Amino acid sequence: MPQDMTNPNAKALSIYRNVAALLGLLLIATIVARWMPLGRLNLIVALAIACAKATLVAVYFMHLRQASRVNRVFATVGILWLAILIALTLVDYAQRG
Amino acid sequence: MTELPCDNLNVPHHFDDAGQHYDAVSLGMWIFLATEVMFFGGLFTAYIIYRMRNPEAFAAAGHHLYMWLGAVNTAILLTSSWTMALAVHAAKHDDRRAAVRKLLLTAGLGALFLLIKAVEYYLDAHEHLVPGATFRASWSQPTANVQLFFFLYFVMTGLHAVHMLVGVGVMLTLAARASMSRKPMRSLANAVDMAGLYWHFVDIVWIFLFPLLYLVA
Repeated sequence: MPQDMTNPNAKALSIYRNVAALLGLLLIATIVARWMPLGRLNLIVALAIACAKATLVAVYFMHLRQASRVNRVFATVGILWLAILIALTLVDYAQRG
Repeated sequence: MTELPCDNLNVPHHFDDAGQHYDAVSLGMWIFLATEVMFFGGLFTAYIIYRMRNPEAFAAAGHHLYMWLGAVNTAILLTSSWTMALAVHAAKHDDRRAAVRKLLLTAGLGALFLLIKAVEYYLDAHEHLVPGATFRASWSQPTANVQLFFFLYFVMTGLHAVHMLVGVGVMLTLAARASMSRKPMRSLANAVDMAGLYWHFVDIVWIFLFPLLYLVA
């Protein structure tokens, strides 16, 4: 960070490049993980990598890092409602047997 | 917010300044994206329920998708998110040439994604994997649950493809507006920024669709 303080333009562009490279590595990781004999863990690993990718896109490309508080609340609430929808539906189906 | 170019150029008169204008525009976009999360969320919920009830059928069916086409498409979408971020950056810094070029690049990558998706649908149809009267899955005896997987696959990727189609249209419109407009590029920065939020959201949806549909172990 210190050497780039003079040029915020170059700094922003290098952050985008690094995030893109990281996303590429995560994609390779998720494909490699497919052939690993992890049993039920396979799904969890794949979803964890997907969450990491989504977070990178949201925080850096969608600028959630610099977003106003209201915007961050709305981004979080969208996911929260989805979590409620999935959780309550699962509870319902678990009761049906 | 970070240092947006805060001249009050092109700020509608009902806003105090460019900062307030940006806050209003981006809040509206985030609210829309929250509704989109619920739109796709219903399908993801259906997928989770049916997969939990039919793990074997879903695993067998998932193996019949073209994993490498899905992986290439994921790479294309992730790259397009990068070019989109660069387009937003260029628009904010008043660089018309770079903004137009990055918008066109994003639209091109989106079109490439759709082309590969179309090829994939064609191959799926060729193998009689489209749910309905012609559905055939000789590799699985009770085919009802296998058909369920393909039903979810076509609806989820189809809805995503419609979003991609809209996104490509938005990018092309913005590129045309930017190259024809006589106003400074940054007067379009908010529009490019909001289109970017939409594009990245559609990318995130695919980030979850890819492992759930193509990497069913």
